[in-house]
Amino acid sequence: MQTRRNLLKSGAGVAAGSVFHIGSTAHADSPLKVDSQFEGSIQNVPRWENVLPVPSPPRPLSVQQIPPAYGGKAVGNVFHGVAPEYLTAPADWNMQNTQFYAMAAKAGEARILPPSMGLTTPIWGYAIARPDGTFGPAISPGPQFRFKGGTPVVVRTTNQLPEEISTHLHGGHWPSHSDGHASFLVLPGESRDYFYPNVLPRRKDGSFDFTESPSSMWYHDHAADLTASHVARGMAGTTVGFDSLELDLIKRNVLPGIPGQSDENTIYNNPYDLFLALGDKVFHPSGAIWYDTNNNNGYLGNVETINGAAYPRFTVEARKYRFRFLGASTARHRRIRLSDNSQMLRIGNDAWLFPKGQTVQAFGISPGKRVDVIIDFSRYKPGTQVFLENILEQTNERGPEGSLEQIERPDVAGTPAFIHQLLRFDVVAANPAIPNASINAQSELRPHEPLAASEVEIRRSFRFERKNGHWAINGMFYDERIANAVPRLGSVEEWTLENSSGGWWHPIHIHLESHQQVVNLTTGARPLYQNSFKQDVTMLGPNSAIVIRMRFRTFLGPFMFHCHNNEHEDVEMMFQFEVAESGSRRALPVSRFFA
Amino acid sequence: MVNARWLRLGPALLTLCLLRQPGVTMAADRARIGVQETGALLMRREFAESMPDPVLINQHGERLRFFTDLVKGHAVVINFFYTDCQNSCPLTNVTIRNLRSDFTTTVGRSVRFLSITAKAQTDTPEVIAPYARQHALDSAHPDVPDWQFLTGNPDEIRALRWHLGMREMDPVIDNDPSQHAATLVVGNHATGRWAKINPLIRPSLVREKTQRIIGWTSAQRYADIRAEVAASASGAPLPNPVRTAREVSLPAEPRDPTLPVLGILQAPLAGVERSGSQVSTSPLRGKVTVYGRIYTLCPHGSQAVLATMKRLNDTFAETGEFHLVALSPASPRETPEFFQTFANIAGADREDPWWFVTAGRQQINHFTQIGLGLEPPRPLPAEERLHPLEEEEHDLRLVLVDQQGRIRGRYEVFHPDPFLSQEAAWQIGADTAELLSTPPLTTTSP
Ligand SMILES: [Cu+2]
Repeated sequence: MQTRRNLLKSGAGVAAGSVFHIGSTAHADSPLKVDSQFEGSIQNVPRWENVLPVPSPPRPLSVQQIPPAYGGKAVGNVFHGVAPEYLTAPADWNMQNTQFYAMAAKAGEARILPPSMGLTTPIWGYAIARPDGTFGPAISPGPQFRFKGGTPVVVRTTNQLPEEISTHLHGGHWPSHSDGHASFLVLPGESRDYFYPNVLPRRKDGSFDFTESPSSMWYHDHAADLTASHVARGMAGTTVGFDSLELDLIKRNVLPGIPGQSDENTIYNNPYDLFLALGDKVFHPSGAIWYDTNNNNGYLGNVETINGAAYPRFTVEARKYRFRFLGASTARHRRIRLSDNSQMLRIGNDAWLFPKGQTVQAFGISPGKRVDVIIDFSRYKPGTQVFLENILEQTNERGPEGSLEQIERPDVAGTPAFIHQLLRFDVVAANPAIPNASINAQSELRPHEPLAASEVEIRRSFRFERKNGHWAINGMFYDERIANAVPRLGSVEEWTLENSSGGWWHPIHIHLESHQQVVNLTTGARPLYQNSFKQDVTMLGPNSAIVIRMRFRTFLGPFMFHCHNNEHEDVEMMFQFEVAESGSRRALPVSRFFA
Repeated sequence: MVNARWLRLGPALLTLCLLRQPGVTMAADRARIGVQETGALLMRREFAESMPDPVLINQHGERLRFFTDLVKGHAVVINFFYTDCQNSCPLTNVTIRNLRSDFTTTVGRSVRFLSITAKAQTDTPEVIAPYARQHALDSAHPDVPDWQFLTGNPDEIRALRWHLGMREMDPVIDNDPSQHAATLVVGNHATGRWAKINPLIRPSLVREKTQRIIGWTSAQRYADIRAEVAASASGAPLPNPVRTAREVSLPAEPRDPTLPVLGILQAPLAGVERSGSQVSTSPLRGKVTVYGRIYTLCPHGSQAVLATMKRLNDTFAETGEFHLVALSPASPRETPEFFQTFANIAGADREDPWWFVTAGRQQINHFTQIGLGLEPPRPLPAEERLHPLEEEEHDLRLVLVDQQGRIRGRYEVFHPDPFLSQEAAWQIGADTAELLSTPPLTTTSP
């Protein structure tokens, strides 16, 4: 019989100190504290009872022609219409290949807590339409769309909830009308045709900029005043973007996948590539999510969930997997590692793959961010249990302990003072028919094209601060009629994002395109490796200022930028920029407003 | 004139003494409903149902339970005030007054305004009653929403404030009532929807946001689209792509797309600052500067001017690129020492970029008229004077001057119509931010 000692001795290639939790569910870690206002909330949730939910992607209702589920109503012939770009699309957007989906935002029930607790949880989630136009049950996270670069998609989204919604697909490049602008709502009982053209922005020479092709996207509600409570109720989901470059990496067996299947399938069917959406919640003893709409500092839960299940387990083959971590919390920051401290290969930040991977023992993940990671389980013997751990303590909504630089460190020194286990991997033997992926730190992934200082047309600065109990930008608050910045279509701008709000942390999300960090003005430091390419959320630690550059391409109209602590965003740490034919250094009234 | 409600103050004096006994504080009724039974709809009602329910006393001396009598089943707009609040409260009160009159013809009494004192120790029922009478000048309309001014046990009110989400982690800031005076907590117990609104944002935005939460939703905003959709119910696609996209044009707001240049500040002013030192306005070139004339005999006007200056100071002082100058002619009464006290009352610290400058009457008049473009003082006939020493009426507009010394706006922050005063106060803040956030193109990185 194999004992732990034998395993350690015989485990060639296994790092010393690996943890083998064979046949044991024991975990010695630090509990998460809960705010006093949630006195009486559920405290001890049994772990590893839940199985990690892995969503199966919805199929389009139809391609090219509108589906019967649309009830004969042409695209755009719903209350909130469709983006004007749908009707003026150029020939190389391949509109004849358009895929049609329909989805509803509606109430439902979920099993977030482990089965032994016998509790269900009311949620607000998303339901995909059946071919006859009726909707299935609401799920949270919502259906996982798979978007192929160059294939346009229309999602007719119907609001069956009693409050207005707006769906933002975060990480993509969408028309203003379809971007989930905080004031471009879907009213209760009404529908909006969200048009996702899945086109790349063009370079100056007219070619498509494939370095901008997004991989890991997610969608969530973005309605003004309501974002935080809607997200807390479950209104979020994930979306996988893929293009020929990624399919080729699978075909050449660089990225995990089934060569010949995952790279051929138009729906991107890949069992070795999945999202891990990290969330935290407080539960009322009845099983309901307990949320305080009047706390606009942030929401910290004491129960961790992944893909909508509390403390799940997941069976993995002894091979490489690609995990797309998503910081789906509004206030909780995490630092993730494996329980045996072994190495992972980080391959992307937010929606975009790096040119080459980065070997890490841990990575930080803040609200709204995605971290793309390869974990190689072939180093473990079948039967091994290895845990995913958060090693970052955070006791209040202000932010975690320590500095941003500490959180972003790629190495883990010593035993962390705080350990909270999130997920148990149960390793089984790999299917020998499918080779292990070859990816390593030398593999070439997605090229990067840096934005040069010489291209910058306009520089602006935005100060994120707390003011009389409200959250402000440059002393101002969100006003749907004011475009706080007006960049010229196609131009490059340089923005200084400054956090002067005492000890608070603000993850700043800018819609429309990726941005690139230039320098940290507070420390004078160049961006860390993981932050030196593309991202859509720049994390501002306490009292810091970071300079970013960004392009504004393809789509005219207003787009949001805001703190991704959704509670801050709701009172009103949110601005908008309007991409226009001619730029302006000053704020202007919004000229295109899509009701 | 004594009205009937006023007479009911009597019993309140007795109950206040009782309230101050800690043993008599009412424990909040924390009975909670079974959320699971109510289905998926309103998890936020859970929060509302567990609200503290302390007994409060209103301006009429009535004892009311916060949740049971005031919030349950209603839409409410709540703010925390205190009667001697100089800065935010007057502006917040203007917002509430405007909301009440706007809502009279729409939602009427289905919304309640609750002003709760953040200084219950000193704001006793007998103190808030005259304050309430001053502010809640009810119109004769039967549908004007109710406005309650409430006091009670200080600890319970603090707990209530915390529960409504108005709390700061820093206890010093948390205990400063002025930190909470610029927030409206808007809620609708029937729908479980709550939000915080800053009453100092664009007034029509306050109204629209409040309407959205109290339940009188976007129906109006979307009325045109509804009509259009009804007209095209045939199911055929709408002809015009832009119309199909429901692009709507917004009515122009009282806001210039680009701030006009109204003039150039020519000659600088030299004078004596409250510290006693000689100052000149010429080094202020390069900063965004707001000039205002203060007239110490006009308490209302100066209060509005100083409150706006204070708010601008609090917002923009930290940028290091902003300056305030309050101007007054020197007189035997209006000495630098006088202005030291005056500035303290206005909330100006010595370190703030805020000067109180006196100079000769001739120089001040020249600077304000020729330099800033303000109206000359108007001699006041004796019968119009509110004060025997008040011989002239002054143009109290604030003047915004940009980094290049160009005049970019004049703002009537003291106007007989409080709504216009508030618009002006909001506008000067917006325009200042705009000037500060659009620096000249400089290289900020290698
Ligand atoms: Cu924030």
